[in-house]
Amino acid sequence: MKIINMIPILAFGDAVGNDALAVHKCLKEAGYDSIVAADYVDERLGADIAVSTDDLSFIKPEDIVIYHLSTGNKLNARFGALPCRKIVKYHNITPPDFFFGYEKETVKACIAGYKEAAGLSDKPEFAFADSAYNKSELIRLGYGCEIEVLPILIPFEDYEKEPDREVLERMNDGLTNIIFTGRVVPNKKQEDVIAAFDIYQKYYNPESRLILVGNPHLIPAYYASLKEYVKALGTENVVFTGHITFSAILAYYRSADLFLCMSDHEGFCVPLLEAMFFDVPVVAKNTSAVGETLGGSGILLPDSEPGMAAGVMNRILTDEALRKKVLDNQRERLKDFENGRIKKQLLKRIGSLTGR
Amino acid sequence: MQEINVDKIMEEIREEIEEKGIKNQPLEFADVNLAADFLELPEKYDKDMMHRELVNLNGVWDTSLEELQSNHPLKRAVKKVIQKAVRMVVSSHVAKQVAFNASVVDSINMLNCLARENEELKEEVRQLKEQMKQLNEK
Repeated sequence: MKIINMIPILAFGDAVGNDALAVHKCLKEAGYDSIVAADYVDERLGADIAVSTDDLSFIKPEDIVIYHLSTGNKLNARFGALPCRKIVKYHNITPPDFFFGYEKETVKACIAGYKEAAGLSDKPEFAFADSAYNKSELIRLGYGCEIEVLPILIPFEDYEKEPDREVLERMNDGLTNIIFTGRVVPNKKQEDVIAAFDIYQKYYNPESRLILVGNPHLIPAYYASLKEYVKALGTENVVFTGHITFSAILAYYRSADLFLCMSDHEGFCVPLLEAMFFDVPVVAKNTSAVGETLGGSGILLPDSEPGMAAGVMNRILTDEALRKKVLDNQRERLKDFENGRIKKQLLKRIGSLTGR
Repeated sequence: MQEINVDKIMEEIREEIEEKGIKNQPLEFADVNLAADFLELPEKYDKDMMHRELVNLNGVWDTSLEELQSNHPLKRAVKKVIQKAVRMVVSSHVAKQVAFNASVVDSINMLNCLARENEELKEEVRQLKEQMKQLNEK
C-alpha cells in the first residue's frame, strides 16, 4: 500500500506545497511507503522530489491518495476518477472576486476551482482541512465525509537556520521595521498595509520602514498599482523584497519590530505563526481564518481603518507592558502548532484509516 | 492567555486620532488602481458602437470548421486526411461552441431591441417633461 501526496503545482516557497512535502516526510519517517506526485515541480525544489502525474496507472486500488486541493486544475477531476482510496486536504480556494479587473485567467481558475471542489464532494472517504474556516467551506461545498481540522505542518526547526547577514545588517539601521509576508495578490490587501503604515510614519514615527516580503510578479497590474499608491501617498522606505531566499526571509523576520496583516482572505495564514516564532508582535485584521489561527493572541482589528491600525501599531511599539503581554500570548498559542503535536494527530488518523 | 482589553485600547486610540487630527488618506487605492484601465471598460451607452458590433457579431458567430482548400491534388488529399482526423476530435466541441455563439448573439440582438425601446422611452419622458414645464410656466 502506497500513500501518495498529490498536488497540481509544487511551487517554491508556497505554503500548500510545503505542507504536502511535510506530510509526506512525516509519513515516510513513520514507515509508510510514501511518495509525492505533482503536475509541475519548480526546478529549485529538485527533479527527484516528486513523480509526475502524467501517468497515474501506477496507483492501485489499495493505495491512498491525499490530494492537496487549493485551486482549479485539470488534475482535480483526474484525482476524482482514481481507483484508490481518497483523502482530500483542503487549503481553501481564493474567491474569484478578488481578481476581477486584474487577471481573467486567475478568475476562471478560481471559479473552476470551486466547481471542481464541489464536483469532488462525494469522492473522498475522509478530508482534512487546515482550519475550522476551511472545514466549514468544505461542508458548504457538499462534503458529507468526516472532516478533521489538521493545521499546516510547519518545520519550525528550519527557522533556526542562519539568516542572511547582509540583509540583517542593512535592516538593523535604527529604523522601526514593520513587516508583512505574503504573495503580492489582491486578497492579501497590501494596499491596506501601506495605508496604515503611511499614517504610522506621518503621525507617529517618521523613522520607520515597511517591508513587504513576497513574490510581486503574479498579478502585474496589482503590483504596479501598489507602487503607484506608495508614490502618490509619498510614503517613504517601503520595500518590496520580491521572491527571495529563505535565509533572507529569516533575516527580515529577525529584523522586524511588528507584523501587520490586513488580508481579506486566508485559509490559515502561515506567516502569522512565523511572526510568532520570531517573537514579532502581530496586528491583524479579523477576517476568514486569521482570528482562528491567532487563537486569542496578537491584536485583532475589526476592520481596515488605517488610522486605527496605525494607532494600535504605535501602542504596541511604545507600551512595553502591552508588548510583553502580546508576545507571552503568542508564545502560548504557538505551542498548539508544535510540529510533534500535528504529526501525532496526522499519524493517528492515517493509522486508523489503514489499520496500523 | 493574558487578558488584553482591546476595546479600551481602541477607545483611547480614537481619542488620540482626534487629538492629533489624524485623517485617513485623501487618496484611496481605488484612485490609483490600474485594473480598470487595463480593462478599458466604456462608461456610457454608444448607439453607433452597439450597431457596429452587432453587424460584426451577426457576421462572425458561426465558427464551424471549414473545408481546407487546395488546388494541388496531393496537398488536397493530405489536407482531407488531416481534416478528418481533426474533426473526429473537435467536432463535438465546435458544435457546442457554435450553439453557444448563436445563443449569445440572439441574446445580444434582443438586448439591442431593449436598448432601442429604452432610448424611445427616454425621448418620450424628455418630451413629457418639456410639456409639463411649459404648462407650469402658463
